[in-house]
Amino acid sequence: MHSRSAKDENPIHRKERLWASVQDVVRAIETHPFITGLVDGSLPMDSFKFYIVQDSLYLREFARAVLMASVKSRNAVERDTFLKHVLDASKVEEALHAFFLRRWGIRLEDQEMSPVNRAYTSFLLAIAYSGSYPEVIASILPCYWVYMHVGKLLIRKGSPVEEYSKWISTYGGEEYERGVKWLIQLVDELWCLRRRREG
Amino acid sequence: MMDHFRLATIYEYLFWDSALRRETFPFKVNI
Repeated sequence: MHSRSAKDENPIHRKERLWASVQDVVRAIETHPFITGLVDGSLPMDSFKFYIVQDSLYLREFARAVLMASVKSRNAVERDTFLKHVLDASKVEEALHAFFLRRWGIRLEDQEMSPVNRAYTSFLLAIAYSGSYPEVIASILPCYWVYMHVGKLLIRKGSPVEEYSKWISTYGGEEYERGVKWLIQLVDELWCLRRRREG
Repeated sequence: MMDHFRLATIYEYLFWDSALRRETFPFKVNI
């Protein structure tokens, strides 16, 4: 018990434990044919197009969940940081997706959400509206964290396909990483506060 | 709290997986 408490006080151990709790899922993502296909160019372009459309539809709802994190935040710094995340994401995604969708002649208004996308965004919004602040930020964190992780992995390896390369470069920036690390820290802090309260 | 974290991570996996297969709603069903 004492050694566990000592580890709870160490932010590095706490962060590692958070990431370790989803290590099996992260490993499955890293080795998924969609991800490996981006690197070796074997991903069918139709699947990539489908992904970009679904991601565009997803981000509209995800932004609402992040806005709710801002609404439920504990102080002005957290409120404004989440607001900034919404605006930054909106700018980057708009530019990236507008580029692809225009190039392909796809109107987002004509597209429908896939079943998984519907389930994922419904889950996020249900937590965003009815969950506590720690629950809201814990549910939006994987989107940030997984993209940072996958982005780093993909940038290191690159892609022979122009469209895939352009998409990969979006998620590797230092500013994006700073935002993700800020949220990891926040989730970690609230998780520990909750554990302490629960004894 | 951590259940939400894990479930959202699983959804991230499913998102890539369903994109690869371009999975849509089964509008045609046999009843």
